[in-house]
Amino acid sequence: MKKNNSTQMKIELPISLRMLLFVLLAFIATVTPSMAGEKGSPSLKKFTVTGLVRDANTGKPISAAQIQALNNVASSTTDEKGQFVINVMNDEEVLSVSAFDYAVREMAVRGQKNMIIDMYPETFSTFYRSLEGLNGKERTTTTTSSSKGLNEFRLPQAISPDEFIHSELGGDVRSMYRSGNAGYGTSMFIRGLNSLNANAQPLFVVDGVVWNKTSEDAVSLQAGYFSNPLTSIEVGDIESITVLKDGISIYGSKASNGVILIKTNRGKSAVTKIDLNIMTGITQKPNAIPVMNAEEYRTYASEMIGTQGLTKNEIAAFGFLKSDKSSPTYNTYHNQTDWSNEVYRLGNTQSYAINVNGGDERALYYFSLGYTGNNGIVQTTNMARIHTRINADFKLLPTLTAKLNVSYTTIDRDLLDDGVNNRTSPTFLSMIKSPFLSPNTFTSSGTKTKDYADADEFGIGNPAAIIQKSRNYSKQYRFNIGVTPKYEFNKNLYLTTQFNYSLDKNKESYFQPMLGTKEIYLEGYGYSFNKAANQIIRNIGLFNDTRLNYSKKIDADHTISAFWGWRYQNDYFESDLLSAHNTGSDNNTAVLGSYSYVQTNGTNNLSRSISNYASASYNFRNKYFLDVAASLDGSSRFGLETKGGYFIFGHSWGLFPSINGAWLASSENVMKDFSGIDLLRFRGGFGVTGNDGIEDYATKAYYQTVRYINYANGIVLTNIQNESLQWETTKRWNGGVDLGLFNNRLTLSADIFTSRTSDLLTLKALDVTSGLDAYWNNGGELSNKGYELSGNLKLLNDKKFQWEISMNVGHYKNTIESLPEGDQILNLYGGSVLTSVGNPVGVFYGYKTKGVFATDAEASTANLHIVNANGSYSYFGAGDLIFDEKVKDNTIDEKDRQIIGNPNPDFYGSFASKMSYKKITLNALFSYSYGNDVYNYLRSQLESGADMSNQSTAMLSRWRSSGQLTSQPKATYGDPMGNARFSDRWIEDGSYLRLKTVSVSYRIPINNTFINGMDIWVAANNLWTLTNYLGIDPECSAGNSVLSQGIDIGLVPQTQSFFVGVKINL
Amino acid sequence: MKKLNYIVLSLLVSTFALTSCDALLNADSERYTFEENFQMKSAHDTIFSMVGVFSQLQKLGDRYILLGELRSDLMETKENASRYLKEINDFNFSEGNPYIDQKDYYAVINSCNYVTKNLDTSYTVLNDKVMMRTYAAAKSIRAWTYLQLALNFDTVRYYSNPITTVADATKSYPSIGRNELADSLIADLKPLKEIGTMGLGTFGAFKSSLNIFPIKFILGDLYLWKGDYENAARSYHDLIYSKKAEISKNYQSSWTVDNKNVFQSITIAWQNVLKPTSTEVLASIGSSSSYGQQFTVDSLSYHYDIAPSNLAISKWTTPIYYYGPTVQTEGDLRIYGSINPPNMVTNLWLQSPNPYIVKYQLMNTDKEKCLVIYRNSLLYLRYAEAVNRLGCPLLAFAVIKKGLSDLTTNRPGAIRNEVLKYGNGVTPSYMTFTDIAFANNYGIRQRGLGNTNLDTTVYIIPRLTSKNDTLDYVEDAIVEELALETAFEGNRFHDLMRVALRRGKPAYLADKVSAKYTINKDVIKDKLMSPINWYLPH
Repeated sequence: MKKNNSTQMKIELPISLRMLLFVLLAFIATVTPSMAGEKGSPSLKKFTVTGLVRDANTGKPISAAQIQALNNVASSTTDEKGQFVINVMNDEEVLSVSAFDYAVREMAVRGQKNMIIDMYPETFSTFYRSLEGLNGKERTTTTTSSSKGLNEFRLPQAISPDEFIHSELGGDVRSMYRSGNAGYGTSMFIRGLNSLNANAQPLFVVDGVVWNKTSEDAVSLQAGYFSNPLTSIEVGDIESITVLKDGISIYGSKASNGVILIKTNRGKSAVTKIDLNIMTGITQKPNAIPVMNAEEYRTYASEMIGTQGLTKNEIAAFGFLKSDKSSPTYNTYHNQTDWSNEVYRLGNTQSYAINVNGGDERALYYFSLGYTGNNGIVQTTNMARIHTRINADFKLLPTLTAKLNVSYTTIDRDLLDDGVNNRTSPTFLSMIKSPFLSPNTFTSSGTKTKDYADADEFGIGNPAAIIQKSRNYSKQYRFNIGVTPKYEFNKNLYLTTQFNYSLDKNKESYFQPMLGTKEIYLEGYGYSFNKAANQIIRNIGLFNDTRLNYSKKIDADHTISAFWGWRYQNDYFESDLLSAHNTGSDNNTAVLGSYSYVQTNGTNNLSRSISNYASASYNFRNKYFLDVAASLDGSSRFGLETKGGYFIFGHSWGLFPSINGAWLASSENVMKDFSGIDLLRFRGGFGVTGNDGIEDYATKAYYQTVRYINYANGIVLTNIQNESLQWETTKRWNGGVDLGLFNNRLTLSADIFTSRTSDLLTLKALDVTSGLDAYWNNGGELSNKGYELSGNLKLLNDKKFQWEISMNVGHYKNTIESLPEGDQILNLYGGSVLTSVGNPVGVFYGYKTKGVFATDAEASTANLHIVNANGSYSYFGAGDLIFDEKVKDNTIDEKDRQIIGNPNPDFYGSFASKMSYKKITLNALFSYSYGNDVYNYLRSQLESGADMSNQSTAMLSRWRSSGQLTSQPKATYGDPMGNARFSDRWIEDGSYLRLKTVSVSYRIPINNTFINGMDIWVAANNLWTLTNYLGIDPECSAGNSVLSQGIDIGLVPQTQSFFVGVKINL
Repeated sequence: MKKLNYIVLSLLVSTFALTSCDALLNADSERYTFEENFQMKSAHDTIFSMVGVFSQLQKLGDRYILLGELRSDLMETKENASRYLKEINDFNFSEGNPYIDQKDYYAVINSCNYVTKNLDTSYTVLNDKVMMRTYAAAKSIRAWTYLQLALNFDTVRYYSNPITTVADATKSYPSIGRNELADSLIADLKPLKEIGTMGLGTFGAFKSSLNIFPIKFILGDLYLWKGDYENAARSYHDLIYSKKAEISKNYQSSWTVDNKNVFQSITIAWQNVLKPTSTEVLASIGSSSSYGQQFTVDSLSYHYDIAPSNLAISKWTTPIYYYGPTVQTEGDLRIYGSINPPNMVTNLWLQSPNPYIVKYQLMNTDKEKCLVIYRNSLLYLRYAEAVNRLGCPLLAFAVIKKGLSDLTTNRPGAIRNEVLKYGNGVTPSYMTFTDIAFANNYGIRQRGLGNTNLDTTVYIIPRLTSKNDTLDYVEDAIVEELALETAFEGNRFHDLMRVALRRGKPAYLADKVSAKYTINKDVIKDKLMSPINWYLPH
């Protein structure tokens, strides 16, 4: 089977090549004669169209509407009766109609001499618009591939661009919030999961520059923290966001996970405009998983002590068991502390931004400056962001222009460890900490002091002390400067070259105090009481994109445009870590060499890539569209002898062609009879893209430094050379249809896709003689099939009241088709993820359970046992879980593991409603995901019944006496039978429907020379969620890797938040 | 078509890229060293790579001990032990047992190959071919590692070029047996045997030169396994002479006797022979408390996963401590330093309820952890084993009983006669101990059992019917002495194996090893009667 696949691949590549060549030749053949005959343009008889432009609701004529012929130079304007006359070249012309306060509309003439054109108010969204594409703005009717974009942003309270993508493009990009903390961003996947072990996040291209987001994957010192480079883009600076899913072969080896283009604002006209944005808001505390109260926990803890096998004296030493009120420690152990109050608080956010936009005929500029501050819902955590951006456009000569982009953002955060971490994460400790203890100490007479208590007698830390004594922060800077000169040879041909330098630097400092935490034994070192660490992460990107652009309208029928270019990227990534333990005092928080167990670590990676690309588009009468594109990519990450590559100029290059076509069927003359169909467009295409997200230097044999006996360094071979290592290849077919019905009241778009990713990056085992375990190799395939639907309905179009609803939905089915190294199991967060042929990526692999043994008799009938580490057997008894045996040998062991959950959803997406009444607009947006399973790692810790940590109230129904029928097993110290092991007990349905955001805005009618407009708005996030999920937030992501999806590691959840803001135009 | 593809593709490659595409696409690293930049043209490169070899060697330390001892009569697993350790003890291995993984052995071999293939051996400093020492060091570590592989797995895959590419790694390397391996390694090592030991100074209290196994010792072992006793004796003797390796009185544990028959006090000094300060350690693998591979044998022993067998304990408690013809008691004082008997002198042989092994603690300092591989006692006992088989049992026995010096070997008497007879009237050079350095050589047994040199009843060779019986008797004594002296140091199983193979009697090993089991004794014996089970599965 493996062989089949590889031969198949070998044949297929030339086929796609041939196809490309054929298309290119055909293209040249069709274009050349028409170019030659340009002067004596074909004699087409003129065609006159008369028409009426009117309001779709009232039917009243619209005067001064602009009518423009798209195929030919012709235009007209309506008179006061809304009537126009336009002379066009033929009866297949397309007219674009625009009018003040109305949305643009395109109408095909379709042989009609008389046309009635209904226009909708601007408050509605429209299909006919221009959207940022791969080579500047494109009219959406002319694009051949599926791209979705945003240039109207409905989330005034957003902090990071991820939030727009999550809510408004929810069917196009499946994204999951990494945490409820401000600006942590989302993990995103476009059209399924297109890799196993390599990067699976989309490529971000910001103002034409490919953003390297390596720093995002750097391991932070702070547990549960994600540094999100996108947060350095202030959302108010964004002009548009476009998601490109196919036809992206010019980004060749970087594009297989999709491309997201972000374009920032630029100066638009010589009229100076000033916008002021001010907002403030509050964020609610989470509704944490309910845990036992003081008395419940006391009972639980007493029982647990009994299962530890301690001696009488050892048990007597526990302070909490003393019920003598005169005892000096009585007060210490008799409190009613709601630990969540010690950790959480009401969070708040403020944001102020100003942007100025103006210039003269020589230069246009856009300038913005702003501050965003957030106090997190966990005490002492906060974020402060200051951003500034200058985008300028200069006209240096009549033929020479230049763009300048400069931006600088700093993000400072005070942080705390987050997620399941039983030593230092206050959020987690607040759940497991005994409620009968107090955050403070007591004097010997029983009076409460102001001092923080240390870790308790169960070894559980004091979250309040950790919050006060920790010194954890992150200081992140991003500086970006870019210049893009553009030289126009003539009106058809120009050359641009874009240079860009970016520096992303993150300085992290971590101090874990000794007060409030339990010391731990570090194997091979000794006891650690406190720890200090520093890390600096630096990511420097150099980028150049040089492009020759040609476009020509040959005659009324034929338009061509093409570009040919070269892109170079140099990315340097460095991280330096220094950590030390036992600083002697919680006042010494800096890392000094004299402390114990000093460790240094880091990475230092350089990667370089070159892409040669070309693209050509052809448009026949704005009805038939054809795009071909290809890139030829080289990278320092690729070997010299790749199987799928071409060896040219001393390197191996990957070829990534694509072809896409579209047919605007509604512009055909025969369609004039189907009056209900205003728009009908078919799209289709095929593209090859790659994924170069492989480890740097993996092709080379390299040696790494090892520390030897404290005093010396040695180097050892850690990787062997594999010159055949290459990119992963994704071949994707797509088809789509766009439909506008009932005078464009209803628009629908549907896309289907099927893709196959081959050459998956996998670890291949090495023979023992090499002395190494494995090497990175290409092998294995996976496929993704799915659809995306979106629709928009103008529900009500009244003069004063307009209501529009829109929805989108995405679906993919991911299947692993082949794995040369067989099934793989990855263990993470106490669970296991299986990668096996025939199953989707990321399925949970664990034990199935069938309830709890009520009695010993029941257990002995079942006669199940485990094998202990020393080889002896332990039998399951009453109160233990009944594990399902896959292999019937009475032994519950790894062989009994089965697939117990799938984190991939059946479908996901969002829907939105927008209502406008006069000057009031009400937006509501729901997001949803259906059919995905979540591994609730947090709950597995709160119901483990294995130690002295407090448990969720679900454990009140734990098995306690013979005959008791319950679903919760007994609690036994150390969980010797593994009742808390990774099983379907922790797998839950993560489906949800959430009212993500609601906002109301009001445009204050102002007629003032200074103030041109003023909007005030209120908004709320996460008001309502429908889910059966037992955790706090079903929307979770443990990281960017495809194999860590659907795991709830207990990070700060998203909670309700409320905002109010004002936007002033000066 | 393919050609056309290339033409079209070449056109697609922009001219920008043509200019210096090579430099544009190459990425260096400051943290990794690439093969092309690591050519060992400088002394630094060789130091770093040798230290790299040392750090790889650390991974073999635990296995050397556990595979050599848990399968022998002297060590056993206790209830706490992990399944994998128990599998070693029971000669019954499951897949995934980390102790039978061969990868780490080949990692050492591959690293050594890299050094020997890339080293510029002609590099000189003041007429000294300094790189030759590094070359010899890498060859010695490689040979030792190969020998361990062959002893544990029967066959090895032999290669001498470094594996640095996938193509190298997927080649099939010939699988060869122990004898063929020995021939290759001997040919490899012989020209290097007189080259001095590479020194990188000390790392804390650990002498880096100890990481390099003496070539002469390895050569001796290789000859001994092959049955070439003359060359074995010559190599061991060569090392004894060039290192001036002695069995020193400084490491004697002894009783003080007063009133002619009362044991008064005890001096425990033998255990110091294992310490990092010892003058008798020839090779050891060093590690540290903070970096690199941690040796686990010490904690396994401390946590009572592994323990001395009752058989091992009885080996120390039963021999006769000889002070004089009338003053005797039971017990070998080398029990101190081997296991933890109760500290009460008078109750010396009252067994501790949980006797554990203390040797590994002794080998460590505060910061450095070491596992001793070769030391003088082992060298002398191997020498004894070789000369015994050459037909000189008296000379061999003297190693145990009174020590080899000019006085014991060259004074007119039975030993001298035996040597002369063997040398046809001439004392072979490898049987002389005239150097003054050996004047005070002690018998190995003397350092734990008193004045055995004076004994005429217990520690003598009985009159036996054939010469062969005498050789076997002395060989048995040597094997017993190896147990008393070098127990738990990693060589036991292979010592038994060597003798059993030499005699063609699997029962020699099977009987001795199966004797330690209380249950399954017969099953284990049966299993060990087939030599194929002496090797680890692979």
